[in-house]
Amino acid sequence: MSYVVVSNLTKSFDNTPVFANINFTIKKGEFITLLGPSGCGKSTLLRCIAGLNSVNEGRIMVEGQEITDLPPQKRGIGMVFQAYALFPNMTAYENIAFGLKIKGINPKEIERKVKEIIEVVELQGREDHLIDELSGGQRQRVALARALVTQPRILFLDEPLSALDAKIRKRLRYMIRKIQKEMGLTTIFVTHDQEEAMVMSDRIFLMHQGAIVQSGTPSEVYAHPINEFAAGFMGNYNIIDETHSKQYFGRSGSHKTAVRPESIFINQPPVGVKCLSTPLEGVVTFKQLLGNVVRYAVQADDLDFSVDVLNSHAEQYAEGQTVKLYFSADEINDLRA
Amino acid sequence: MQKSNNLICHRIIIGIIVLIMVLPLVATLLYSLSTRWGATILPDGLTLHWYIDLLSDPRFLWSFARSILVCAAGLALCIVVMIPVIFIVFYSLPGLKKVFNFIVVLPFAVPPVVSSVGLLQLYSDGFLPISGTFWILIFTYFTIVIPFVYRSMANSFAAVSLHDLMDAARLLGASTPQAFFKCVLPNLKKGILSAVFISFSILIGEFVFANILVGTRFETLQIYLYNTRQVSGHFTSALVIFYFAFIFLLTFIASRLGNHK
Repeated sequence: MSYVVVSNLTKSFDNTPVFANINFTIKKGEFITLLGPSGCGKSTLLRCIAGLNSVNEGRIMVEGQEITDLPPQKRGIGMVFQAYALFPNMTAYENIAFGLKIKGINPKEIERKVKEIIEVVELQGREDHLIDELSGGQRQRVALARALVTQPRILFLDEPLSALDAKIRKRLRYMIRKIQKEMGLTTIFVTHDQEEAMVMSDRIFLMHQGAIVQSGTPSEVYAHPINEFAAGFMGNYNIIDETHSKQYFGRSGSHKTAVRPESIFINQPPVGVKCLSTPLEGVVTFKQLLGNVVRYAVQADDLDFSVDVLNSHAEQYAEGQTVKLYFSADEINDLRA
Repeated sequence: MQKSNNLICHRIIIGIIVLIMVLPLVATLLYSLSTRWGATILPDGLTLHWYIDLLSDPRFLWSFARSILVCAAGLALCIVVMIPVIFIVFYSLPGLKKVFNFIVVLPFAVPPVVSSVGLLQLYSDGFLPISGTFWILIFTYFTIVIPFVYRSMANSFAAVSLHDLMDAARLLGASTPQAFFKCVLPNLKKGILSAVFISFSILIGEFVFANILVGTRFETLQIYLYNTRQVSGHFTSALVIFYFAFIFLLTFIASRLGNHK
């Protein structure tokens, strides 16, 4: 049975729809990411499930219990906010202990639990620091501990890493995933960063304009984008219009196709990859070194293709050189309108 | 050369202004400490006599106590009323912020002499005949300090991330009042304290309302000062210096609290 069931959830602010008819289910212990550009409604969806905003229509069930109209205090949801939302008047320890104190748990039990969770998030020695004496990464770990210590039924993470610098972000995202797996915690993570979503999630719900446009495992969503938005958001897809799709790939001509830059090969298809028999001829117009990958812009007819070649032993091509493009037959994605 | 000339010029200007502001105070202080200061450039002799007189005058001590009572009561009332009002405006009805910014300066719009006459007529009889009692003064002081209390506390509210703190506390199980009192209010302490000190020093110097609304029936510090102005210049000077020192202390504390962000 599904642990979380959201059905027909609809929300609008003053007649401006934020999202409509959201449906999904989550299994116990799953790590779900709501991924989408800013303004797509992902944060509001999270806040509605947490009870911080009301919904216009729909139902939210957790463990078979309907929570749609429950106040946030009674939903059993822990949340980590982008801007930490720690209490500045309290120390790290007091922040973490707050939820347990409010629930009236006995002081000894509180001390044991808080100590335990402080070790989990590696904040030993920082217990008595006030919040403004801690770094961004430490603050977010306090916030994580504060949410975890109450043993929530679901953990919500609302862009918790966006305010941190790259190095700390990577460390913390590893830590979050590790703790989540160890505790078997059902988690909904909100982000606009597709890399973060792919690294962390069991499943990704891709949101656009108040709707979930695609859901699936990271590799499914990445390799088989369902429409032009998904293709554009998940990777540097080449979008080929209806006419050219028909002409090059023998499609019906009623929809566009998308091809990843790494599914196009220059001059020679690799061994074992089934490619379209007729290559496309084009001219290299631009060459860009991205580190592990060299990205070429190749103009064929009136289309520009992005082609990624691993920067190892690969042959290098010069700007202005005429090349042949081979397309991997299984990785041409038909897009829905 | 040009620069040092400028600097000298600036210093002279500042010096003159400081002199203009400080000189009367120094003269008053000196006058309050002198035995007699009539026909000579410097006083005949120095004494603490006037201060001893002042501090042993029960009428003065009572008026000082009355002033503190009405100011503290009016101010406390204002804070207790305004905290929930500002909280509601910032938390649930942010659209009202503009309205409040306007409403809140209204006490400035009517000159005290005019509004005190109105208050006198309104509360002389009818359902709340409190003219001439200290109650009317407390309620009037309540309205006078609203702008100061509102501004200072609104700044504090704007400085904390109110909604995030409330949301976080509520998700952790706190009721809305618990969330406010435990997680938000302690962070507004500095704003509230500086509002208290500024408002208090404004109220304790208030004369027009006190004089017209209650006058000698409830002699406050300012009314006492006014009534005793004929007794002796030295005595009045001692009173002024005492009053100044008190206000100075309050503003000093207020500015310290304001800087300690």
